[in-house]
Formats: sequence, structure tokens, C-alpha cells
Amino acid sequence: MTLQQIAVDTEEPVVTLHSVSKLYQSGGSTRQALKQVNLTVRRGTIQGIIGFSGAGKSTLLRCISRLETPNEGQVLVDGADLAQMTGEQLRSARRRIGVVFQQFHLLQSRTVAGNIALPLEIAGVSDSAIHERVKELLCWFGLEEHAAHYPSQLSGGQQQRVAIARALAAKPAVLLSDEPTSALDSETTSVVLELLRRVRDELGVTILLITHEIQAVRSICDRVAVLEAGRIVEEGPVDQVFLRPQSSAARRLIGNAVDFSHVISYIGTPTEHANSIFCRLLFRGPGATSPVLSEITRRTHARVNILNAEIGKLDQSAYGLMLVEICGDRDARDSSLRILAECNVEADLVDPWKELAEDNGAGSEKQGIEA
Amino acid sequence: MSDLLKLLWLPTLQTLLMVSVSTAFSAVGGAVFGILLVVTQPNGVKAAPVLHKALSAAVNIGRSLPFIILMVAITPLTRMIAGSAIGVTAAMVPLTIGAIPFVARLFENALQEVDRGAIEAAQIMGATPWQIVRKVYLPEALPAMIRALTVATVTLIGYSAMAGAVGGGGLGDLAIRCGYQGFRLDVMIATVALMIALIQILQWGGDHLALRIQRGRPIVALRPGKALVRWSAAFAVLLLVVGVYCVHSELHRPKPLRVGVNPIPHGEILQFLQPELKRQGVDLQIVYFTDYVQPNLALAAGDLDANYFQHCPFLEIFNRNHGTHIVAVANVHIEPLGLYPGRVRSLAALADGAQIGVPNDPVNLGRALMVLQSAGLLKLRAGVSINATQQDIAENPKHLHIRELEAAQLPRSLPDLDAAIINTNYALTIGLAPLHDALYLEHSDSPYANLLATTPDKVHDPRLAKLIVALHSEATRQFILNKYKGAVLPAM
Repeated sequence: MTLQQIAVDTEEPVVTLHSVSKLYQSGGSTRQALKQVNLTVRRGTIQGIIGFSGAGKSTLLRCISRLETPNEGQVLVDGADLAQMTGEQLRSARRRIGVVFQQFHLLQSRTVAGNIALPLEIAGVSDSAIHERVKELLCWFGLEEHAAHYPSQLSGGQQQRVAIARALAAKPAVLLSDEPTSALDSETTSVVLELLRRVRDELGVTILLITHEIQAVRSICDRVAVLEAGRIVEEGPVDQVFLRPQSSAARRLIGNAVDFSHVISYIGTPTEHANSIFCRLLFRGPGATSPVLSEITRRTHARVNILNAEIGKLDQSAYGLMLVEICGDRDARDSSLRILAECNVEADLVDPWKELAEDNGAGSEKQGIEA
Repeated sequence: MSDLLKLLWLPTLQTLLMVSVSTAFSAVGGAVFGILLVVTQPNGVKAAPVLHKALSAAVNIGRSLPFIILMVAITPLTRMIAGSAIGVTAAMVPLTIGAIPFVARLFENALQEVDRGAIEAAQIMGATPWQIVRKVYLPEALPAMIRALTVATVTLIGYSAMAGAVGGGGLGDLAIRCGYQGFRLDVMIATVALMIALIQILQWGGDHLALRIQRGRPIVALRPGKALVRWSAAFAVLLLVVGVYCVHSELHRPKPLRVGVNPIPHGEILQFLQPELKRQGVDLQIVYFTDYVQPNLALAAGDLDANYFQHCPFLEIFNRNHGTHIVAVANVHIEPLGLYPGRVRSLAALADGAQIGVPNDPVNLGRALMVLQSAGLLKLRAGVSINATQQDIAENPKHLHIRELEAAQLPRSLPDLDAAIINTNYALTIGLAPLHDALYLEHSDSPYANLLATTPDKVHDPRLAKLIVALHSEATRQFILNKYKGAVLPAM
């Protein structure tokens, strides 16, 4: 199926943000929703943007689609700076953007086919060409049987499929997806995410996925940017950000952040653990399946106490994350770390009491995770 | 029963015609204003805050004018559009103009309800403001707009009841004129029942249509919007044709002789003459009015050929106050004012401080005070006559309380008064027989003969001459004497 020419040059940027800032003014007070945001989305990739609610995700998307005008900075879509455009120039540049929303926002007065035809009608495409294109999309999205149905007759997942088809109708360069799965149940979520992956792989469309759901990022994104309080605090390939998060916001979002207040509530004070080290262990690849901890207890006198553990899948391969306390004399501790290294398990030393203090500091900025 | 049907038939048609045409036009006007209000609002798709404020203010002003005032205020405009300021067609103009601001607000609310996200989606698709209106706002808001229009139509039925004031007729007018003022309880009940039925049907139809549009529409076309546009356009054109036809037919009807009257006895006397005049080739059209100002204004404006409801002193004052040049061409009858019993049964029984009702319009007030004077109840200052007011009472030995009330209201107020001076036409409506029931009756040599009046340019209209002859014929004399048992006396 070649709906669109697949021209994947992953080095070429489709969307580029240069120090974009956005201020909201209401009454006397100003609120800075975006601060000097820089971001490059490469062609044919799925770029995730993750953050808690209030972090500025939606504002960022609205600035890219020019529903909001940034106060400073450049928004380049396919090389054209939308922030400087108005009128007909802006309208035609916007046709290079497709948008999918959390609440679908389909027209209730139009059938599925009519909804998909809307962007083409707006672009002034001829009736016969519209007919052709709509048929093509209905077929690709498996919506033929629903062509004459109205949105109110469809399930949420089906409506989102229609919305994606509509967003792609006019062959945009980039698909902006604003929390596309947040209104869906978990099963439908994975179907829609799989569909987005196919859109990237088979149609070569670049996707900007805005979400607060780590699961969505983990399953389809190539790269992810972490947004907190209007700033991008971390950006990189998904596995890197996910497994070795550098910022506290990333750790909290990713959810494998250990709740240190809970851990400390049962381990007590630092003086009670003078002979202990605390390690964050990351099992990936072959090491993920070997019995490393029992190896330690067999070969050393160290005692191992598991404080927190998680096993999951990332981009089709298994991983494990663990917080352990290794208790013993200096030799036992050192040889334990050696064994971990032998088994290809990455181990980072942590100080739970320091981590807790950091989390509390960062936590005051955090505004809670969306439901 | 068949009499009732005959009475109801024409007013029902008049109401339907007035309401449907004015609904159609106000829907178009309201849609234009409603759309402009929404797109020009500060966060609208074509933001223009200054224009928005101006439009909003205009709509508010339009909505705050009481309908009856609006109807009178725009008379010149009505005449320009409808060719005449009285009649069914003329009533449609103020109905439409009165409804447009109301419909505009309702439509604005319906359009505001459209999913903001769907509008933003269309903006990102690169839609122009007009495309957003056509492809998103209107189709999405259509069910809500139909519901709004249903509400507006029901309101218009209410407004149309006031169309009687400009001779538009209709059910509401029938209920007031014939039912309330004519004491025909059966007509009042039938009219109200008919109005209730009409509104029920309308509301049901509107809800049903809105629901059908909202739920699965049967069209499997790629662009269902088109069929909808075609149908609504066809409907609008149909209503437009009906409206134009209606104006046209009213303008090109063979010219009748239009005479404005009060219903009793003027209207009844003219009805008696209608067949005879028809034989003589005069199409006498009787236009009913329930007040004393509109028949003269309509005559002066050329909407009537003559009127027959007033007496000479009233006409003189009217001409002076309004700068009109209406002239009397024939005296027809005298309706003596009478003092009718309320709580007391005889003139002698009127106690000290008794409550006496009198009409509150200046002419009838003066005349009523003169009747009370000739009845020996009070004395007016020397020299005052028809312009007398309560200030001119020189002697009031019985300390009577003179209560000034609307002339038409006096019969209904009798139970609350000791006695009242009532115009004969209103006395007749509650079955009072002036010669028999009145405590005191105005002398028959009174200057208050009711007359046929016209404008100077029509004095020599041959049709008018035929009418005058018929009014003074022996047959008419006998009709008046028999019908009103001497309470209305032929003036010649």
C-alpha cells in the first residue's frame, strides 16, 4: 500500500522550534506557559512530548498549529515559519499539518466519509478527487463499512480512527496528536497506538505525540522530550530517557521512580544502614534473565534486600529495574558490584535520603498526574 | 357551532400567514446577525471586537422595545415595504423586525454550543472564516437552531395577537375583540384552545425535526451537507414566494372601499349595509379597530378611505393635536352616554362619597362630566364644556369620587363602583339596555353624533356617496331602531 511516498530521511527536520516562548496575560498577572523551547522533529519519526498536566504540552501544540501565536521564537513546519504568517499564506501552510485530539472533535453532522472529506473540501480539491482519496483512506483504515455512519454511532476507538484518517486526508507533513489515547480504554489505546506506528512505517508520516501516558511513549515513540513547567528538561531516544532518566520530572513521569518516602519509612535512618549501599539496578538484554542476586548471595557474605522492583517490556525487549540494599563489609560490597558488572547489569549507587529531599524539592512544582 | 367556525376560519388563516412569513424572514435575518455575532466575538474565527459590540448593542436595543411600540414606531417603514400600514401584510413587517433580534440571540447561543475543538480542527485544516461558518457552524448547530426557531415561532404567535391594533386580524385579535370585549365566552375558549393546539403541533414538529437531523440521517451521500442545503433553500424560496404573493395580492386586489370602525354598533351597521352596497358595485371592506387613535391615523395616512367611530368634538381635538385634516361627511347615529348602576340601584340612592366611574380619554371625560351635570349631580365652572376635567368641578354636593378608567374597562368595573358613565357601545356588550337600565341617559340633542369621516381628497368619491345614501336609508333606520331598541338612535 503506498498512499504516500515514503521518503524517510530521518536527518531532515519537519518541525523545528527555536526558543519558543509563550506568555499568558490575564488581568495584571502573567504566566509563562513556554520558556525558550527548542525542539527538532525529524522526518519519519514519532517524537513524544511527555509531561504532567499544566507542563505546557497543549500550549506547545497550539503554538505549532498557530492556534496560539508564540511571543518569541520560530516555529518552522517544513521550513516555513508559521509564527510570522497571516491570512491565505497561513491557511495554506496549515494544510501541511494534521491534528488529532483527545476528544476526537469530529463533526456530528457529517458521516464518517463526510468527516474525512472535510479537509479536502476546504483545500478546494475537486469532487472526484475527494471521492477517490476518501475511498482510499476508508480502505486503509478499515472503515469502509462505517462510511455512511455518523460519529455518534461509533465507539471511541473507531471515532479516533476516523479522526486520524481525517487528519491525514490532505497529506500533511506532520501529524500532531494531542493525547490521542487518553479518552480510550487500555485495549483500544494499544490498537490506536499500533495504528499510529503503521502511519509512520507505511505512510512515512512524521508524528508528534503529546501525552501524559508513559505507556504510549514506551510503545511507539522514537524519541521523547520531557516538558516541565514550560521547559524541555530532557530530550533523547526513548530507551535512553526511559532507562536512565536524568531529570527528576522524567523519573516521576516514567513511574519507575521509587517512592523514597515509602522506602525510608521502613528502612529508617542512615545510621542504621552504615554498612549498606543502595543500588539502582537495570537489567537489559541477556543479563535480564540471569539470576544475578542469588549469584551475589552465593559468592559473597553480603545480604541483599530488594526494596523495589519492576519488570517490563520496552520496544519489544524485556527489562528489569530494581532498587536493592546490599549489606555487608567493604569486601562483600565491592565483590557484589563486581558480580553485577560481570553479568552486564548496570548499577547506580543512590542515597535514598538525598533522593527523598530532591523529590520533595521538585514535587512542589509538580501539579499532579492527569487521570 | 357553524357560526363559531365561520368566525374562527379567517383569523386562523391570518395568524398562520402572519406567523409563517415573519418566521421565515426573521430566520434569515436572525441567522445573519447570529452568525456575525459569533464570528466577530473576541475569540471568534473573524474577530472584530468593535463590530461585535455594536451588533450586540443593536440587538439589545431591538429586544428591549415593547412590540406594540415597535409596531407603531416603524409605520413609515411598514408602509414602504408592504404598501400599507394596516392589514395582514403590514403586520408581517413589525413581526419580522421585532423577531429578528430575538432570533439572532437564540441562534447566537445555538452557534456558541458548537464544539470549539471542531472549529479549531477546521482552522488547522486551513479553512476560511466563511468555510467554517458554512461547513462547521451551520450544519453542527442546525438541530439547536431549529429548536430555537420553534421557540421564536411560538413567541411570534404571541406577538401576532397584537396585530389587531393595525387591522391585521388573527386569532389573538379575535379573542380580544370578539371574545373579551364582545363577551363571547365561547369564542374566547375556542380561540385559546386553537392557539394551544397550534403551539403544541409546532413544538412537536420542531422537536421532531431537530431530533431527526441530530440522529442518523438517511442520506448515504459522500457530502450529506449538500442535500440539506438544497432542501432548506427550497423551503426558504417557498416561503418567500408565499410572502411575495401575499403582498402582491393585497396590492392588486380590486380596490375596496375601506372603512375603519369600532365593532359595535358601527361594524354591525356597516355589515348590514354590505349586501346592498355590493349590489351597487361597492366592495365595502370593514376594518375593525379597538381603539380611537389608529382609525384616524390610518385614514390620514391613506390606508383607509373613511372611518366611522367618532363624534365631532373628538374629531376636532384629534385634528388639532395631530395636524390632520379629516372631515366629517355625514352624521349617522347617536349613542347616548348613560349612567349605569353599579352597587346602587337608583340615582336617589347615591350616597355621600359614592364612587362614579367615567371614561378616562379627554373627550369622553368632558362629555361624561357634562352628563353628570345635567343629571344634577354636580356643577361645572361656567364656560367649560367638552374639555372639562375634574379640576373644572365647581360644586360637588354629594362629594362624589370620580374614578377615571379606560372606556372599554368600565362595564367590567361596575361591581366595584356605585355607578358609571358608560359609552353605549360598551354598555351593549354586557347586555345593558340603555333605555331600560340607565339611571340617567344623555339627551338625544347631544352634539355627539357618530359620523362618517374621510380626508378632503376623498370627499367626492362616488362610492362614499353611495355609502352615505345607504346609511341614511329607511332600511338602515329601521335596522338601527330594531337592533338597538332605541339605545342607538339614527341621527337623521
